Amino acid sequence: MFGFKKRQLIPIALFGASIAILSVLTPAIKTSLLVLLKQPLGIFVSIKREIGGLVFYHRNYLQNELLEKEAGYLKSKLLVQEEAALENERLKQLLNFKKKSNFRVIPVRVIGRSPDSWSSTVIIDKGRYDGIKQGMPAITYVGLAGRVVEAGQFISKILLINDPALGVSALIQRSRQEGLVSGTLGNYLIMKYLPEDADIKVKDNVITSGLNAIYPKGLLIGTVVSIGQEFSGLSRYAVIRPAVNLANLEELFIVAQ
Amino acid sequence: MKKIIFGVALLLAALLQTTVFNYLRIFNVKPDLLLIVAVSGVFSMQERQALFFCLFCGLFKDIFASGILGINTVLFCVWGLVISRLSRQLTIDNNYVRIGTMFVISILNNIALGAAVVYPGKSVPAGVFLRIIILGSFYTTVIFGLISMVFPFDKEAAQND
Repeated sequence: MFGFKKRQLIPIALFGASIAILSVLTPAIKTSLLVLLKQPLGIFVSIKREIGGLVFYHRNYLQNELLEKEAGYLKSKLLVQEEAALENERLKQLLNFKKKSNFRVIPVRVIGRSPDSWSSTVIIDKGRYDGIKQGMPAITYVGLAGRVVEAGQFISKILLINDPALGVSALIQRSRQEGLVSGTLGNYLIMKYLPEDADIKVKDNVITSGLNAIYPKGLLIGTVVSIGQEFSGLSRYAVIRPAVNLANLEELFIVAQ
Repeated sequence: MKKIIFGVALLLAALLQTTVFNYLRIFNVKPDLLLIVAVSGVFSMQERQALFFCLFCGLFKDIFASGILGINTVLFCVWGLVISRLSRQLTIDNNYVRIGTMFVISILNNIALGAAVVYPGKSVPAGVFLRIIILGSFYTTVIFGLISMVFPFDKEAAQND
């Protein structure tokens, strides 16, 4: 037809057939080849990057300096915003508490703490000038924090509930069992003088009983974490985790009325 | 000059003790910076000056602390006197001896303060009591050791003062 002889047609047919076979098999071959070449490709890319780094060292150095400055600036900005958000959240909670509270309260800020480990006190930024008097209870939006022990003209000292010098008449909210809560200088409080048959369980809430005129009734003190037997065997005691985080007090309310 | 330096150190120690050092509490115990400054004063000053300095340190601590009024003032003066009298009998120019003295004074001070807390009938668990005495004294001594490494004492200069 086109002047081809039969013998010449055979290699052309073989070539065509091999192309057809290869084109069908190409996707499969490509995938397996890429898998095989993945590691060497990675090595080459790394070498390329290192060479690029060496060649463009000065440019990258300047660019890095600039970006570091920018990142630092953005970080500091973010930190300020985070702090503002946290303060906002805290103040919102305080405001909420003030609205809900039946007491007349004076908001104060903690400015210092006791200098030794044998007492647990905080120094606040308000005193008699702002209406604070000795004996007034200090609370947070969570519960009882302590009591004013010294009221100066412009600053006062508050004895926290984890100080052994402070005793609070308390009761178990569920069973109305009464006892005396005092501090241990540690992270927990202790509720003493509980009778042998006291109805008290772990996770029970402990609140102020109101028997002592200083503390208003119903303020949350903490939660029972364990119950034990006194050494004498005559009464029991309960270990209480304070509701207020006494280690990180920043703002407090002094109950004025 | 030395008086001014120690005066500033006293003020700084009182402020740090009541603010920043609350973040450095270990097992609810913090070092007694004011005791460190008082003892350092005794090591660096003549007896009369040292006793006055201890009095001020104790007063400063009592101002910030609650509890028995003036207990720190009395105790600090006693420790100042004890160290001064001891230095007449023994040589305490060696830094290790000073650190040892600081540890003993710190333990005695903590025992006295602890006794003042427990004596009126306040209950403190034995674990907490021992933790404050031992760990508190150790922590105070470590801080004193670090400070004495940074600012070495110069007793001779004090004697020539």
